[in-house]
Amino acid sequence: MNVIKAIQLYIDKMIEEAGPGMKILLMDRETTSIISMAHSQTDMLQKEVYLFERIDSGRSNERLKYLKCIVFIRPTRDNIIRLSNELKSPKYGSYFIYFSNIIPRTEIKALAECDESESVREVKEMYADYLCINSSLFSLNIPTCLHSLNWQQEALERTVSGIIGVLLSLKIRPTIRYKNGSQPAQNLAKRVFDTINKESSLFSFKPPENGVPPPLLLILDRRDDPITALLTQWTYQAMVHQLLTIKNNRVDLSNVVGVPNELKEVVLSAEQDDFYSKNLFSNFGEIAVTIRDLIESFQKRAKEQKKIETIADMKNFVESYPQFKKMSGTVNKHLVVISELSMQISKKSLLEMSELEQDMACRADHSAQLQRVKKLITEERISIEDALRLILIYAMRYERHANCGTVGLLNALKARNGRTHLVPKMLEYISQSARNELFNTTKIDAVKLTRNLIKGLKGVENVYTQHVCVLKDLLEEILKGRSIDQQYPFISSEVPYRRPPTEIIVFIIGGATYEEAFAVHQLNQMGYRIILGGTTIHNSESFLEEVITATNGAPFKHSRSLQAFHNASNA
Amino acid sequence: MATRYLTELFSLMRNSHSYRNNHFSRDSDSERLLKRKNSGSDEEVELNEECMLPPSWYDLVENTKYTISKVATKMVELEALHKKLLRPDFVEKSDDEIQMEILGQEISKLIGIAHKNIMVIKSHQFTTSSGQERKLIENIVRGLIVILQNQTATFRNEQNAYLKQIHSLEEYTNDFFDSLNFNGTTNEESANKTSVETFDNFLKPTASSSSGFNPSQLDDLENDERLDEYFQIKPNQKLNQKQLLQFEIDNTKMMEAREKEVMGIVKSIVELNQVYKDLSNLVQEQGTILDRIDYNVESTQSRVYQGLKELQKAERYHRTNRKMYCIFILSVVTLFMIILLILTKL
Repeated sequence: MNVIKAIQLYIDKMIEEAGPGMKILLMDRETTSIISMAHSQTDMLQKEVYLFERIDSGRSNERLKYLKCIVFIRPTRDNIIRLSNELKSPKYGSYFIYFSNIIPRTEIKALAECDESESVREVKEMYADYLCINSSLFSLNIPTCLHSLNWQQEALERTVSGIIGVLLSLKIRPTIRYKNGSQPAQNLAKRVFDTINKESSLFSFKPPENGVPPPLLLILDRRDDPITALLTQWTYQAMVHQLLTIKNNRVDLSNVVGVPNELKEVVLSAEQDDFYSKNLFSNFGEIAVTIRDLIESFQKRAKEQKKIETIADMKNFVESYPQFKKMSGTVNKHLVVISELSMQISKKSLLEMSELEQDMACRADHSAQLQRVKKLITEERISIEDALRLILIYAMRYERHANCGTVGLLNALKARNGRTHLVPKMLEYISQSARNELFNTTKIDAVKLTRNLIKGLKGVENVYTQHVCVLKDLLEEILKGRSIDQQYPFISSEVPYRRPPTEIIVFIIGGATYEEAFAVHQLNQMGYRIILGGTTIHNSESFLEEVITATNGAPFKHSRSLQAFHNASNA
Repeated sequence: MATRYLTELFSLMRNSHSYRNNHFSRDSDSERLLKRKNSGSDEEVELNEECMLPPSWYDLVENTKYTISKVATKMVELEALHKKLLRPDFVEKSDDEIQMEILGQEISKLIGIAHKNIMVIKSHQFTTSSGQERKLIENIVRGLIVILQNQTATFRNEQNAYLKQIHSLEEYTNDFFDSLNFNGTTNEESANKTSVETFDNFLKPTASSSSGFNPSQLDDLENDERLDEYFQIKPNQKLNQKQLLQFEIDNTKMMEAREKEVMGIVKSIVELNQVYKDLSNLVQEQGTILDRIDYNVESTQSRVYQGLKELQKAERYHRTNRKMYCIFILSVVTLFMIILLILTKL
């Protein structure tokens, strides 16, 4: 149950099958990202893959017949057409074709008819059709997947094939549960279920031993937990994503002042960077300590490097020089990233922000919180995006409160030229169940009340991380074996297993967050086997984009009182 | 890791397609053959064949790879030999030591050869005209260097570990003799047991034993039983002056041999330094953005795009240049005419 390993295995197999000799790898836009996330160029060079090219753009028309060509593409219409053109006038000696997903027979026929020179040696489906980020986190890089609160057709197709890819690469034939009441989740579950049944020969894995419950595919909807995507996060990976944006494990630092040229863009990959893989999930305080230790050991080494008196010292120096270089590269990179993070935190007063956010997310204390929000959003040092986030959280939390002060807050935001139209949009975006369960302040839930009480007695360990995402609670319920049939029914009429599943794949429509990845990681540390995926990985900014497109075309039902702010034009 | 095998299906479809084509085309087989022969002129065939063959430098690449693989096998041998040498036993090992030295030299020679080959391959980069090929060579060189680098690193580590262990053995024997200080016989035995470096310390104890027992040293011995043992052994195998001399000669001989050996290793390390320096530049790249496949593909693309733009610009320049050229000629002609006019009128 490690998605990075799964992708790597596929790639290695592809290269292995092509045999020895110089090879070129032909990819499309998406598979380029998929491969880049799993292997570095050095890894590929070791395997005699020396050239990399995209099938869809920027190709030279030189013929290099002595090269073997490994084609790894998604089976889309465009790609098939491009590949047939390539096969009609082959540039390379032989072709090994791998599709990242199930390809219709008619397309194979079309390709076969183009291959008149018989240069194709191998055709195979290899289901590496998703981007692996951490060992237990994958994404499909679909920035926005809904329109008027239902699937965009293209996004749905991509999601289905992505999930099928994950299931096949991990050899899992799961039972499927989906969030009751969410139309997108139900649609997706249905489609995945149908595909599994249609391709039952592919999914004919060894059934689990007697008594062992089958793995579970759990399809959730971001609309049930919009809060998690909005809160300021404090784990390293999540912070970097929130403040600097991680894209395919790459972080663009070109906007940061005083960054040396070679660090304008850095790679944060858990696979290649030890320091990063150890500290992905440590919070900002811990990270500060570890980076200090790292620098101390670096300094020690640097000092050692300096005193070269004897031949032995010289020898040692030459030996450790590459390591030293590598270490200094890592230190430099993380230092730049962390110093930028801490700069932004103090500049935007994120600690203060976060305290209030967490307070609103976890405790109900309307009047005091409203006062604090009012005070903060007018202050200059709070950036306009952060002010918007505060209002969004407030508006969702106290939507039905008798003295709801959203209008007043929005007016204040409008005075600062904020994007006020987002608040009514958000209120349309969140689902009914989020309303009833997350933000309900009137109905008293006995279980929740006692749990809160116990929590209150224990005291909060850290004010900035007290909020627990819905996903974690849900997973704990499932792993404890509690019945969730009502809220998360099976797609088929299967007899529900009484024992909790040991392997769970969670997929969140509308994007997962690194905070949830952290929750999954914590559970995995306890010995469970859970993988999290989403249409994309959100930070608050990309999430707001998602909200805007998702609610486009949807009627305003819940936010009539905010009519004045419905249009984007006044922003 | 599920996969689905489609090659059979593909070739089936391919065959049926070509069969159908043949079936429906009116030309008979022989006619078709004739046609093909006519259409594909000899030149084209030749060109195709030339394309199929890998370029001349590819042999060198294979060669280098072979050399590096030889290094790897030699490394295994060396490792085994080191282990054998460090194992304390009574077997005479000078042969092994010589062999080790030879092996070490061979490995560093091979690494040198591989390095030189890589440099030659690299130089091909500037002779080829094709951009793809240039990129290909660049990446091949990079890949080879990384492999070579790993080999060199393990080689160095191995040698270092060996030197270190010999050193610690030396220290260990030093400690051992310090505690025994004056017993010649045990020295002799352990001198055979462990290897030469023990003779360094051998001098000291023999000297003390030749001058007889030192009472103060005796005091150091806390164990009375052991003391008795010493007295029992001593008369049987007491060293005389002649033996001592013999030892000293042996000692220096072996010291020399040891020194030579160490020097050899150091020399090979020095030789490798140059190679090493070349290689270490590459390490920094690993783990940075330069090592990302997508980044490289993108940058090639943007370079291609930029190249196109440059080309267009150049073309534009070219055209404007021609215009300028015309203007220039015309103005020269006009000037000439004016001068002519003035001259004829005057």
